[in-house]
Amino acid sequence: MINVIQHLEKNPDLVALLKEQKASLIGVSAMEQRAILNSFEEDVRLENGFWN
Amino acid sequence: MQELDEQINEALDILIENETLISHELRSMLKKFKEEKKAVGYSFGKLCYWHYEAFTDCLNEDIYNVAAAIELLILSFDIIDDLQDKDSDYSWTKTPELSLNVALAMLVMASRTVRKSTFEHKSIAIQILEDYALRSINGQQLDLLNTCRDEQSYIQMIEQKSGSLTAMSCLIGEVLAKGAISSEIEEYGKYIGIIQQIKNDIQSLKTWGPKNDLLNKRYSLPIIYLLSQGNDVSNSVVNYYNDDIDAFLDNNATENELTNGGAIRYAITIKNVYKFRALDTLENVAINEVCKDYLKKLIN
Repeated sequence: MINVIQHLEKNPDLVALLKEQKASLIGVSAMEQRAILNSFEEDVRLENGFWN
Repeated sequence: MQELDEQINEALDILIENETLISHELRSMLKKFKEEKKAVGYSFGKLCYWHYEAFTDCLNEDIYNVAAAIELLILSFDIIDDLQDKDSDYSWTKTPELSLNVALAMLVMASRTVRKSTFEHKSIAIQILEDYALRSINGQQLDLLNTCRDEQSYIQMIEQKSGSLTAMSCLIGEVLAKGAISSEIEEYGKYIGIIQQIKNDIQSLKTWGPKNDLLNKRYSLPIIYLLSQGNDVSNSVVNYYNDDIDAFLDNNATENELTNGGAIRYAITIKNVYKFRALDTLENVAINEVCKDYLKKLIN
């Protein structure tokens, strides 16, 4: 899964194609693909610059 | 505080008050620690209650005592975890030696409470409590060893450490009502613990302080991802983990890499995988809507 996310982070166009069902990820189940696409819609920020 | 939380809280108060074999000193510490726990709510006790309620025809009021017993066990594990990790400021961390005795008393009181209950199937419930508590201790041991450094071993570890306790809570409720357990409930019960642990792991990275897993050189899914990247930030974190004296951690660059490099997204993806698995399994279990709604809140 690490490699898949890394690849998608570097190729955001592919995320759009996956959402439009114009592409699919080989070796990734439908449920995993749904989990991946949902994660691209969730907030990944470490809120409010807590680290500062 | 919700009604069910209040009922579990009341059962906890009575259990602590009525335990004749503990001294005044132990009792006052138990009460104090329980009060701190009250603020976060009794999720494990509620998992037990809702699974009992979902499968029983006639509600035995002793279920509140069993839910309270589960909360005592969970609190004892939380106390021990905090003493081991030294990363929290709960009152039990101020007097570790004394707090250990409180945790031990809670553990004994937990199984004793289930044994003293009036349920027909209480002996199976005690067996479940002991089996899953031991599994969780195994997971805690692996966590402390800090040797789970890849996705598979890390998930196996949190399944044991956290998944065992959520599964245990669901199964005890089910078995007290039916006298039997189902693999589906064990499965989604486990997944709830995994999901909550991944959420905690992400939360831990939100503060640059004593609870930050990265600063503490601990492993979690976002950190496993970050360490595998092979870029400058990743390499500096690898050096930091390897105790390289020249290692320098740039807060902003590390935060940026976690958020924009895919580390948090990766952890969210794995959490989502378990969310969908749990929801799928839940669909195949005939439980009432109240229980289902409560579970869905924990899963989502």
